[in-house]
Amino acid sequence: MKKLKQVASFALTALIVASAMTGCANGSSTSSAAQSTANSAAGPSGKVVMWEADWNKTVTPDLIKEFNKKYPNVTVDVQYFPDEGMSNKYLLALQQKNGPDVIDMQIGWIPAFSLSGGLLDLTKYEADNKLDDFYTGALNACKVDGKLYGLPYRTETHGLIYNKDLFKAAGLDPEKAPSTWEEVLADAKKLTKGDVSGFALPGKNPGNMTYQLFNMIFSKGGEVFSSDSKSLLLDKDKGLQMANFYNDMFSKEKVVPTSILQNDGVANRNLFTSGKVAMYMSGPYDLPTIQKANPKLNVGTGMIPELGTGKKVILGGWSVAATSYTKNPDAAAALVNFLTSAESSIKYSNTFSARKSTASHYTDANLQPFLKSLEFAQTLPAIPQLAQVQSIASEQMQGALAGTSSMENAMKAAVTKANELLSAK
Amino acid sequence: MSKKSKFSGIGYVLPALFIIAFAMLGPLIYTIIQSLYKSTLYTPTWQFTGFSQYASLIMEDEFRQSIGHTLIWTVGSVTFQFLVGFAAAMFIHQKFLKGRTGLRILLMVPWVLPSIIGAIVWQWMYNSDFGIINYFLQSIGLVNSSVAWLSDPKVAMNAAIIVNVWKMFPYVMLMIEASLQTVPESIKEAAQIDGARPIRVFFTVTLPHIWGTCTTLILLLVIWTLNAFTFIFVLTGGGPNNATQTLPMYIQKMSFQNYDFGRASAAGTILFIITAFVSIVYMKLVSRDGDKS
Repeated sequence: MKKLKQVASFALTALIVASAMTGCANGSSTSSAAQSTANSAAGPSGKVVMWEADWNKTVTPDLIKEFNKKYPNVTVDVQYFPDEGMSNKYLLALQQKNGPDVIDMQIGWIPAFSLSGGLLDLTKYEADNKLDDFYTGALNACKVDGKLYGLPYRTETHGLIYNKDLFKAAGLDPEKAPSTWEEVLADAKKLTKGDVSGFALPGKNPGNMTYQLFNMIFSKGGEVFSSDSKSLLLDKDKGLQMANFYNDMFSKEKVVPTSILQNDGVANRNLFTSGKVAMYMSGPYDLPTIQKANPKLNVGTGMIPELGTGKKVILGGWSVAATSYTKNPDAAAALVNFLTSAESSIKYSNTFSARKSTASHYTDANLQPFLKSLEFAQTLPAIPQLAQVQSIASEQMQGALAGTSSMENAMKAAVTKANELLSAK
Repeated sequence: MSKKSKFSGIGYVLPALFIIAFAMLGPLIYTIIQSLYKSTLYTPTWQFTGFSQYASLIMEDEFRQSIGHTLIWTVGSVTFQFLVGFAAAMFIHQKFLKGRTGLRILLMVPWVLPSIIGAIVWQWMYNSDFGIINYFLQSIGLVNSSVAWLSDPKVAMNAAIIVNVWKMFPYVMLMIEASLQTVPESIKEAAQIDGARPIRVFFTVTLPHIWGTCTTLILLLVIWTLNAFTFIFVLTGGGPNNATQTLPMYIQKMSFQNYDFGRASAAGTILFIITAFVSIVYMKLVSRDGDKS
């Protein structure tokens, strides 16, 4: 009897484990069966899983409701993820061909992600789509070797964000943002007083640091990469000039917070919001956050200094892509096209839509410099090693900011290391 | 023990064993195999390269530096985690102390607080412009200009170690104090009657009693610290200019920034070998000590 009990308890344990495992398997097999039967019906139908950024939680559900009015047979299951570790998670899923059907992702990730073979070429689904309505830079960023791996819905560039009250207190014109880098420095010197710094630059987070440096170089009409993207140009001409300027603002002119090496883009926004920094560079997405955290702050904006005809500024943005292993490509492509349409993207994007025809929708005065910047916006070259190059450059910049080497030597070291990497492929 | 109860014992552990094999052994073997292949995002298929990735890692300055940083990080953290925890346990164990329960709970806060929250709070405390630590040090006149705790390559590692000690000392305190409570009063009293002074009582009665706890604790701390990631990731991100890049940080960077999975696996395997080696040698040393006594 005792033995029977023991055997029974073991069998029960085994059964629980086994049922838990088959439970998962059953779930997926029934859903795929449902999809294949549904596929035979007219129009796209079935289930689509979408991976979404968690800051879109407030807008996506409504958009999905609208999508379902148009496509009542498609069920969309939206799963939200935080920014932290997002690109890693997405990449791993794409590599293992085991993830969602549709992904909301940064435009800049597309070149690297497409190499995993996990993204669907959307070209054949776009016959009726007005592709020339997209900002050219944003659309081009989604193309790799002539294939279209996603469609943009959100675009933005950095601009200058400044505190009008601090400008007034320092005797500067609060309605006019500095338009050259010399003016930025002169104004920053006047603004630096007590515990307030005139200008903020990031010294942490490779993406944040290089984004600012590259924009500064582009605003001077310089280049960061050679035209064949095989070499980095930070050790000469405008590249070195602006790298030195970055360092001098901190080390020599002391108009940047001494905590620079601790500050990433978010930290700088917080310093600005609390009135400890008078100017910094960021995207229009920071404006509502600042407004909400400190409604009394009098914010002004401008384009990146010296930006104009013949110059450029980095285009950032988000896109919607479908996966190559989706069991329901028609429904997935329908969702991509819906979310990136002019009407949807106005609601979907928390900055600007990626559609040119939506420009008149944005009327806020502080948004105008950012909107104008879009004319000059171009994405960084679509090289898969971009993140690695950014990391190499930012590590060397940190060395110079910490005073362990000169900026010139740091940039030389960065170029040597990066060129080795870029020519290896 | 009869045969049938032995069988039922295996039956009970089998599900757990299966899960452990699935969740731990599987990835470990996978990592070791992957370390022998070139596998990056840009190479769609794995190419067998033997031990060449290990060789190139050992030749790389950045990798060797990160091993050095791991060593400083581990020795520094574990030494002070243990010493501070031990001292706190001795202190809190004193009977004359009033409100010991309250104090114990208060001291446990760092350990109970999620690491990520602790790290972010420390990050702000360390801030060279607005951090409370610099404010305090300057107001009592200990330093003239603010210390760049996380930005100065010479200071950043120490700053990270301080946070790690802060986080883990309560755990050491808890374990040591629990162990102290098992030391029989009668033996201590007997030693006192024989004329032993408190220090003598501590070394001849208390310490041998809690020795087993101490050695296990140190081993656990070493393993945890070797593999620790959160604090350095949040506080310094491995910077400035890789000054605080430990091996786990290097592995993370190799795989999730450079997408070089083969190389990351090789580095991961090296970390595994280091951890296993340290653990085995340590256990051998400790158990030999045990034989002597």
